Amino acid sequence: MTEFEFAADPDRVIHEPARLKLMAVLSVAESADFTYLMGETGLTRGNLSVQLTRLSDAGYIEIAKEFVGRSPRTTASMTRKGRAAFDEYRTYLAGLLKATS
Amino acid sequence: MNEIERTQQRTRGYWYSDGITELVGGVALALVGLPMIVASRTGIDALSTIALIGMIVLFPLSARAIRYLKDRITHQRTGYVKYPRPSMSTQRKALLVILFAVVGIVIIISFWRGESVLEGTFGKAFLLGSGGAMSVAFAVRAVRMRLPRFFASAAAAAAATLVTLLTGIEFNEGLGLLLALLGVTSIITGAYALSVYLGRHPKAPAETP
Repeated sequence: MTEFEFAADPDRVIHEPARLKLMAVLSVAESADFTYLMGETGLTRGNLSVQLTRLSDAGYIEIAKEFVGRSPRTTASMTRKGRAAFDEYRTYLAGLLKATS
Repeated sequence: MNEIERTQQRTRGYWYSDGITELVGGVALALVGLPMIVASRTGIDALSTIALIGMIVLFPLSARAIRYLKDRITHQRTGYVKYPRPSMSTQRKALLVILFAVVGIVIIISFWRGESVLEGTFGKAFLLGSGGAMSVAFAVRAVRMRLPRFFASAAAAAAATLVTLLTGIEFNEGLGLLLALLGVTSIITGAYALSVYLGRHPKAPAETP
């Protein structure tokens, strides 16, 4: 077992592939709506809703609802806590790759 | 490149995925550039004034048109992404200061040599600088966003700059050529991107309240 394995443990909230993809999108956008996130992740409406709620409960994203004309639009944006967690997760991944190469 | 970076790159490039920005921007550039060329060739100065007014009016209008079209076409099909306002780094600020200083020096040299500012060294330097900068910016965007169609815009800007410098045409016509060629290229690439986008993405069902 390497020293790395003792020292680090991935953030389980971000570690799940669909949530990681959502975090990756929101890390470069100020906000993105439900339709874009569905297209980018390939998740169904229900599953996307579950994953966004999980990230929101962890304090990593904020969900907002607004009306554009008569149509509702749900958008998600990354919080400061989420950005810090995402950066930490990327550092973890880089460390993992370094330790195993 | 890993999946995280690919996802980030796709999101950054999403703004350009529909070709609307190029199409509208291209129309604005062509509408400013073409009268400048015709004015230089025919000597009808009123056309230069029209181009100048067009420059002032068309660019804010095109920003509105882009927003309108994106709301009607893109956001209803593949969703809405809001981008953070780009913040300028200290390095970029320093680069901008240097650029203004260089322009200032060129103007002083032009006056000192008794040349007309636009037709002399400054005019040539301005066209070379702006054409070269546009060409490099489009090439960088093509690589960063993985959107090869921007190489066409880079080539158009470089070609217009080279033609202007090699044939020695006057400043107004040179600038007009640069804007018009870039505009027409953007219209073609934008229209192509939009047709591909519309073919791939039917209208998505609206969110239910």
